[in-house]
Parts: sequence; structure tokens; C-alpha cells
Amino acid sequence: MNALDDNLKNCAGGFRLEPRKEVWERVEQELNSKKRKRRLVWFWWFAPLLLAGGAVWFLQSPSKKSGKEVADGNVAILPAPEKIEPTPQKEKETKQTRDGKKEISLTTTTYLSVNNSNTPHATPFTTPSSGRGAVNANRPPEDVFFQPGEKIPPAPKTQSMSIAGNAMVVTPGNEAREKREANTLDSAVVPAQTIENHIVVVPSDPQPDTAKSTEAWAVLPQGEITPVKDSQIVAVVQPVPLKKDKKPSKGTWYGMAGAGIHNHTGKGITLEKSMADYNAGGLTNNAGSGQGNTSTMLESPEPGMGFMLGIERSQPFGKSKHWSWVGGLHYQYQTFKISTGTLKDSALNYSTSRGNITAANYYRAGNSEQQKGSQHRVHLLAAIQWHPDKKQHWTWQNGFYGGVVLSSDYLIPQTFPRGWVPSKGLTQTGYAGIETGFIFRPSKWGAGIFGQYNLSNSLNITGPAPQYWRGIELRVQYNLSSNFLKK
Amino acid sequence: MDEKEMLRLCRKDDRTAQKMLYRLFAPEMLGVCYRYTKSLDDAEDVLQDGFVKVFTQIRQFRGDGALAGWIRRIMVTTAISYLRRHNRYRNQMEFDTQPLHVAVDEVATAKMQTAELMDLIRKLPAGYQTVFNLVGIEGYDHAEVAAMLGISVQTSRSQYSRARAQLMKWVEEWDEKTTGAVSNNN
Repeated sequence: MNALDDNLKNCAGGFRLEPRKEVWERVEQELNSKKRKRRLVWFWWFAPLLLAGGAVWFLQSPSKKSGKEVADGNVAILPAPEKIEPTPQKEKETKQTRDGKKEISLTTTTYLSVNNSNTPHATPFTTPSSGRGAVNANRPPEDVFFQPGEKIPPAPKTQSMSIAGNAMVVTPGNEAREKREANTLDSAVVPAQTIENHIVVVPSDPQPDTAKSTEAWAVLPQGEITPVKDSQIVAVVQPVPLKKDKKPSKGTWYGMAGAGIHNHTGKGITLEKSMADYNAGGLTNNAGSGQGNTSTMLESPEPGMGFMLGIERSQPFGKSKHWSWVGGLHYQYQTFKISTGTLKDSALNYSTSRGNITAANYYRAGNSEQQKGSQHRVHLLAAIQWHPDKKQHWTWQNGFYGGVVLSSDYLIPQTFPRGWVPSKGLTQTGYAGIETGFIFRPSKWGAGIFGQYNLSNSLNITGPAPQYWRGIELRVQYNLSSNFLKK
Repeated sequence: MDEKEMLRLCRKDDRTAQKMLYRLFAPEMLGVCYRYTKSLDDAEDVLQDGFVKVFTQIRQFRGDGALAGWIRRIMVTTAISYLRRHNRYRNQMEFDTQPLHVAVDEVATAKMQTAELMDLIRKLPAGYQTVFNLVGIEGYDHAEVAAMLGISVQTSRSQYSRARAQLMKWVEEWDEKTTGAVSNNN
């Protein structure tokens, strides 16, 4: 360092300039937007968790209405007609549930309690306890007894909704209950029928002991009890079309989580940049083998890590036990680091006015860049499964996916290892790809290994390089449907 | 508010403290940015990017050295990144391996005003300008500059040497011009 350098340093080093006011405003604006982006990043961390949680909640919640329900209707007590011929009594529609309980349909047969005058307890009655329009037959009306004429407290809203307006009496008709009531409470349960939109009570059948000197008590939806003798219309039933029971689905829902390694590859930049340099006169002659097909990276990309969350539904083709189709929603998070400035030809040897440029010094001269960042991917999956065994413990799945990716990245100019160019923000674009995998599901839990190949080439983030990636993921699956049915 | 308190508040994203820090250092840093670019608009762009980096990375500043030095380093790296990113500079960021030696009068610089010298530095092609700024003004050694720019130490030396020689030539011309003007006036 001599006097000249000192002069220069002192002179130029202390140079000051007052920036315009707008500069601070722009800085402030950018800081504010960065703050918002940070919030957005948090959102994208939590969004998939919320999504998965919501999906699980949706699957686990009971269905709101079953096909056995009848709708609310206006009910009015009518004077008994002189004579009504009751239609033959229908069979009680009972159905065995999975846990051995019986369900009784309220739409074809309604039950009225019959009072035995010898017993101080008049009408054994239970408000409906099940929330689905079908009554749990194993739940006797242990403490709910009412005197004739007594006002029965209205059922809670949820129950009144579920029993519907026409369900007058909701007492089970199973054998155990009839026996118990007949023997211990000396009361019985007799059915009522719906004929031409009227509820008709036939109190004399089938309990002669209890019916001969008794009157029947019809319990109306409003909670009133009205005496009934012989066959009598007690209420108008609004005709309500029944919802058809859906056939139980054979499909299965799976929730899954996984982790994997993904290898991202930049392509295409060198051709563009080389040609740009060439056109600008930097490269006077392409003496090498030109822009070959070899995509050679002088620096290997680092594999990105990632995890995924997903939900899928597997539905058999007809009655097939070997083939199913799958629809699903996946979320993936991936990190990546790629060299976007790949050299297209490893034998690069450009003859230029400044001497030969080989692959090594071309790269070092700054024609290569690296990108580092992370991506949030949400995609829909459509796939076909093949199960070699009938028990479907083993599955081979092949699918196609497509969705949206949000990328956040940093550009690392290769020639300035100290400097990182900050992200320009989240960039959104579409992508698509294929995957194949093997799954082993010995129980409700299963595990699988999947390979993915992204077909998208349109990802244009801070750097100019399109991007491809391949990945291997290990996934753990859980059968949500069996859990759901048990509930 | 002293510097420590200002730093503490800046780390908490306090906008008032950030503005104070900006006001304190912006003129000096704009001078730095101005030396690396060809226009004031570009220099202000670099200043803006640089201060955004400063405020987002200020938690990493441990206070080992001077705050001004730390901010200055950020401005320099930001300026270099800026030059690499923009096409109008990129083409000039070429590094020749041929050294050039030019004999110059080193005394003439002492007569120049800062603004005039700045103008001469900014007349250099971006590549020379960058190396000259890093070595001649910021005080980086050639090994550091070579690492920063991804070039060899020899290239850095020759670039600096050529830039310096060119600059001196211009200074000499300026000196002759002004001396001539003074004699004519006399």
C-alpha cells in the first residue's frame, strides 16, 4: 500500500450520499411484506395439519341422518271415526347391528304402551335415546314412568329432531323387555299402525291379560298422553318419503404419513445462457460437441428431505378382490438444493477470443448458480391398486397426481459463496407426476414404499431453471374406515 | 438512544429503532453502493436490498466488531450480487488473465475532490470497478477477493492493477486539463 492507495482509500472510502426519502419507504414496505410472508409460511406449515385433522374428524363423525328417519310433521288429535278396519299388522322391522343390538324402524310400526289398571305405574315410556331414528332396544325405560294425562317433558331438541314428529311412542319391543315389563311391571307394549296417514292403536292385542280391562295410552310427539280404546285414530301422520338406506360401502379410507428423499434437477439453463453469451460475442466458436444431451452437473445436487400427509380412499372395482381404484389428497413438504446452471456437455471446450473455456473454468466464471429452498405441494391422486392376495394384505399401487406447489427459494450465485440472494417470495405453479409403490397392510396399520417421478417442467422460481425431481418415500397407513364403523 | 439500545430494539423489529439505524448509516452506505454501480437509482436499489438484509439478519450480529463494518460488508456482498443478477452489469463482469502495467503519476490524486474521483471509479467497467473497490477501497486482500468473485488470485491482482492504472491515467489527464486551464487563465 503506497501513498496513492491511501489517498484513494481516504478519499473514496469516506464518500457519503443522502438517499431519497422513498428508499426508506421501500425498505419499510419490504420489511412489512416479509413479516406477512413469515406468517404465510407458518400458515402453510399448519394448513396440512388442519387439513388432515379435518379429514379425520369428518370420517370419524357419525352420519347426521340415517335412512330410517321420518321427518317432523304436524300431529293433531282427531276424533275417532265410527269404524276403522285396521290393516294387518306389519312385522316389526328389526335389524341386527354390529354389536348385537337390535334396531327398530319407527316408520312402519309404532308402539304404544298399554296401561294395566292394577299397577300404579301407568305407562312405561321412554323417550328415544338413540340419535338416529332407530331405537336402541336394549335401553329400557327404567326411570321414566308417567301417569295417565301427565305431561311428558319434551325431549331435547336433538332427540325431537331425531325421533321425528310421528314417532309417538318409542318403546322397544324386544323379548327381554316385554317379559320384564309383563312380569314385573305388569304392563305390556302393543303396536300401533299407520293407516292412510293416521296412527291407529289396537290395544287389545297381543297382551290379553293386560289389555282386557285396560285402556291404551298413546303418547304424542308433543309429550301428551291420550287414552285409546279399541281401534282409534290418535294422530295424523304426515306422509314422509323414506330415505333409502345406502348400501354399506366397501370402500376404505386410509390416513397416511411418510417421509422421503427427493432429488431435484435443474435443466435447460446452460443452453440458454451459453447461447446468450454466444450471441453477445463472448463465445466466438463452439468447438466442443455443442449442446449435447448429457446433463452433467459439476456439483452433485444434495438430496432434499421431505415429509407427506395424505388421505386416500380405496374402492374395489365391483366385487373384485384383486383390483381397486384410489382417490386421494396428499400434502408434501420438500427441501431442495440444486445446481441450476448445469452444463449440457461434460466435454465442453469453447474456443473464445479470450482463450479456451473448459467446463471447469466456464463454471467458475459464474455461469452456474445454485438454488436452495423448500416447497409445499398439495396434489390430488388417482391410482389403481392390484392386490395379489384376496385378503389384500399386499398391494401394488400405480397412480398419477397433479396439484399446486408453492416454492420459496434462495439463489446462491456460485461465484459469490458468501452471498445469498433472498427469495422473491412464494411462487405458485402447477405440477404433475406419477408414482408407483408397494404396500403391506397386515392389520389396520400398514406401510409402503413409493417412488415418484415429477413430470412438471414449468417450475420457474428465482433462478431461470425449470425443475424435475424424483423421490422415494416411506409411508405408514392407517385404516380409518374400520375405526369409523366400530363407532 | 445509544447503539446498544438501538440494536436491541432492532432485533425486536421495532420500526422506530430501525429507522434510526437507517438514518444513521444510510448516507455512508449509499456512498459504498454508489461506488459499485453506475447510477444513483441502482445504488439506491442496492441500499434498499442491503438494509432489508441488515434488518432481517441483525439477530446474527453479535457485536464482536463495529456495527458499521458489519453493515458495510452486507452492502458490499449485496452490491456484488446485484451486479451479477442484472444483465447490464453481467456482461462487464469479465475477468481477463492478462496483466497490464501502466506508469502513472500518483501525486495527482491528492489534488482531486472526492466526487471527481468517484466519477472516475464509476467510469471503469463493472468487473474492474468491483475488484478495485474491494481491494483499493474496502481493503480486502486478493485471496479474499478471489474467493468472493470465484476467480484466481492472479486474476484479481491483474484486474486491480489494470483498474488502478486506468484510473491513474484518467487522473493524469484530469490533472493536465485542470493545470492547463489554470495556466490559460493566468
